This record gives sequence, structure tokens and C-alpha cells, in this order.
Amino acid sequence: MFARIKAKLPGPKASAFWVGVTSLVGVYRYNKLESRKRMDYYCQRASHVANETIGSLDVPRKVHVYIAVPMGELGTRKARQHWEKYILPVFAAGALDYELTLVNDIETEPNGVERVVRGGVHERIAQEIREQRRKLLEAQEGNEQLRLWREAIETRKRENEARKLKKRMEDEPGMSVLELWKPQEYPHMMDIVAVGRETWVEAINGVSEGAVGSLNMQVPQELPRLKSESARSEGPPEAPLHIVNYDRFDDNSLVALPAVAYISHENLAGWASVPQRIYNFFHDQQNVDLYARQALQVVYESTKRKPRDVAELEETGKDEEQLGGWKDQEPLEVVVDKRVADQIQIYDTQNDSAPFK
Amino acid sequence: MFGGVFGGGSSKPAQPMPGTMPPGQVQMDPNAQLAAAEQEMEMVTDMFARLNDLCYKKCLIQRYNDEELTKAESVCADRCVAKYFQVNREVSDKLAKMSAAKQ
Repeated sequence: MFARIKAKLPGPKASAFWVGVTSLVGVYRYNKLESRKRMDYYCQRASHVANETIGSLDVPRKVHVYIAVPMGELGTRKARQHWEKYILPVFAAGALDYELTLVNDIETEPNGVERVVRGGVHERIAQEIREQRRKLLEAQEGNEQLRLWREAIETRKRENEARKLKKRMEDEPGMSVLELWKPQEYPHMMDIVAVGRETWVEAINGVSEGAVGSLNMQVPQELPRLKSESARSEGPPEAPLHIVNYDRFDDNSLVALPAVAYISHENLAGWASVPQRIYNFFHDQQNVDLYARQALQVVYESTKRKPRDVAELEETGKDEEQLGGWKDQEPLEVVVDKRVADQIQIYDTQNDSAPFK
Repeated sequence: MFGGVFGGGSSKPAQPMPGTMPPGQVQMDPNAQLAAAEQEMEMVTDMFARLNDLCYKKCLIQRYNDEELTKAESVCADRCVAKYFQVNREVSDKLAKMSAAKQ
């Protein structure tokens, strides 16, 4: 009888194969289960914010998430996947509304090599803060000239939009008025969430430049209509720029700055990181702990604080520069004005100070 | 998925009468304009009812401890409405392009 049973059993090599495969599948499934449990834990902690009531006319809190191209990559795909896997579930559980901006500026050099153009996040944040400062200046008494300029610019924008809409209604007679609906803009200044060291550096530099930099605005003047065909074929001439001088009305006081949060993204790039990536495939729980905990601190406003010193702003996320993707890349430096460093607030994402543990 | 762009197909969009208008110009007589306005009103009301029903089922928890919405319900409702309008707009554009291509 034993001989018959033994004849049906697989051989040693087949057994080793099936044991190996089953072990790998088991480890993978265990990893998935554990990661899910840990994510559920952080989502459950965040859900206390989601269950608070809010008035019908109140606007829920919203943050602006910036994602720049990680070092060693040519696009934001990996960073976006990182955001969707680890950070977004916690924000959704905490009912934290967000605006996501992926800054993907790539240029192709004449020899065909693609290169990432840095500075997109910096420029966007600086522009937003400058606009905020301009609006505050225009609202002050005695700055009538600025208000008139703003009205002229807004009127021209509205006229352009009305002209486009009229043309569209002529081309599409069945167009519904529902298509005119636009979502309401967030009335306050959104806090900034920077994913990755590169984004953090650009965000801080952008806040600093926007808060203390020049406010002068360049507005193109209207062009005369082109009459001759040859003039049209040559292309429109460059519009002369008019500079609106806001600086002479500026009293150099700092506006309320948005708080900035740093959520790390240890992007494993390059061939040398393949063993680490294989390990992460089977053991992702520590990543869930690392990133979801940081996302949870952003969901709670109570984790906001002033930075201890300028060095904290400069050193945040510097560990990422040891990774392979940062090799042969230009170093990024935080350049922040002292007044901005004294006023800015950051989220304490590197410690777990959120409630409901 | 959303019952059609024009209220489940029960009403058609206002189309210019073929052969009566030069291309690119909308010239409708008052009765046709009134009919178009009524149709638009019916479409908007129908769309609002569908949107209300859909987002209520998806977002509002059937727990009535408080008279106010929670933050989760509020954010969900905002996003539900924004997505509904966005998809509505994109489907309208697609249908308009298809009908323009057929003509």
C-alpha cells in the first residue's frame, strides 16, 4: 500500500518547485493582507475627521497636492502611483478635499535626449501667492489705480470668453446652458502638500519668492488686426508688454502663508535598486506604515506647527538624496527668506502626533 | 450610465430645421424658440432630479443623528456633482461631433 502511495507522490524536484511557488504566493498574499490592515488602521483614524458635521454653506477644507518628476525619472507616473496607493486613501477616508497638480515639464534637446525641466512647482506656488498679495493690495484704500487695472484686465477676459461662447453657440445650435457651469473656486488659500524632496524644495522656494518677491505684472497690450495676407503669413508680431507697477504700493508686509506638508517618496530608480524593489513587492507593509502615517498628519490640522529653525526647512527630506536616482543630478537647495521662515507653518509629518491612536 | 444626455432619450435636443437656415446661423421663429426653451427647462429639471437621486444614494449615509451633513458627505456630494457635469459636458461634445460628422 505504501508503495502505491509513494508512486503517486511527486518527486523531490517537483515538490521543491511547488513548495517554492506556494511559499511565494503565500508571502505575497500575507503581505497584501497586512498592508490592507495597516491602511485600514490609518483610514479609521482619519475617519474621525470625516464624521464631523459641516454647515451646508461652509466649504470643506482643501489642500493643493503638488507632484514633480522624481529624480531619475522622466515622468510623474511612479509618483502618481505612489500618491494613489499610499496617500489618497487616507485623504479620502478623512474627507480631505484636494487639488492635484502633476508638474511634468520635459524638454527634448537637439540631440534627441529628453530632460526634465525643474521649477514648475516653484513658479506655480509663487504665482499663486503673488496673486493673493495683489488682491490684498487692490483691496486697500488709496490704491484706486490698481483696482482700475484689475477691472480692465477682468473686463477684457470676460469679453474674450463671451466672444468664444457666442461663436460656439453659433457653431453648435443644440448646446445646452449646463455646459456653462464651472465648479466654485476655493475661497481661501489652500495648504500645500509636497510629495518628494524635489517638490518640497521647490514648494518652499516658491512660497519664499511669492511672499517677498516683486509683484509687478506684465500685461500684453492688444494687438492691431492684421490686414494683409503677407503680414498674416509672417505670423503675429510680439505684443508690447505693459508693466503694472504694484511694488510702489507694497508695504512689504507678509501675507498669511499657506502651510506646507512634506510626504516622502523614496523612489527606487536604476538597476541597483532591483533587489530592494523585489523585496518591497513581497513586503510592502513598512511602506504603508511610513507613507500613510505621514498622510494622516496632513488630515489633522492640529499637527501644524512652526519649524524649529531654518535648518529644519533645509534638511527635511534630505535622506532621499542618498537614493540612486539622485546620482549625477544637480543638487537642490532650499533658499528661504528669514521673515518667511519665521512665519511659515509646516505639518509635523515625520512624527505621529495625530489623535485617535 | 446617467440616463442619457437628454433625459433618458425621452426628449430630443433642439435642432435647426434642415434646409431652412444658412449654416452657422441660428434663426428660429418665436414658437420654435419657445418650444426650445421649454425643452431646455424640461431637460434641466430632469437632469437635476437624476443628479439629486444619484448623489443622494451614493453619498448620504442613512443615519440621521445630526441635522447637518458630515464632511465626508459634503465632499462626496461636491465631487459627485462636479463629475456629473463634467461627464455630461464631455458626452454632449462627443455627440455633437458625431452628429456634425454625419452631416
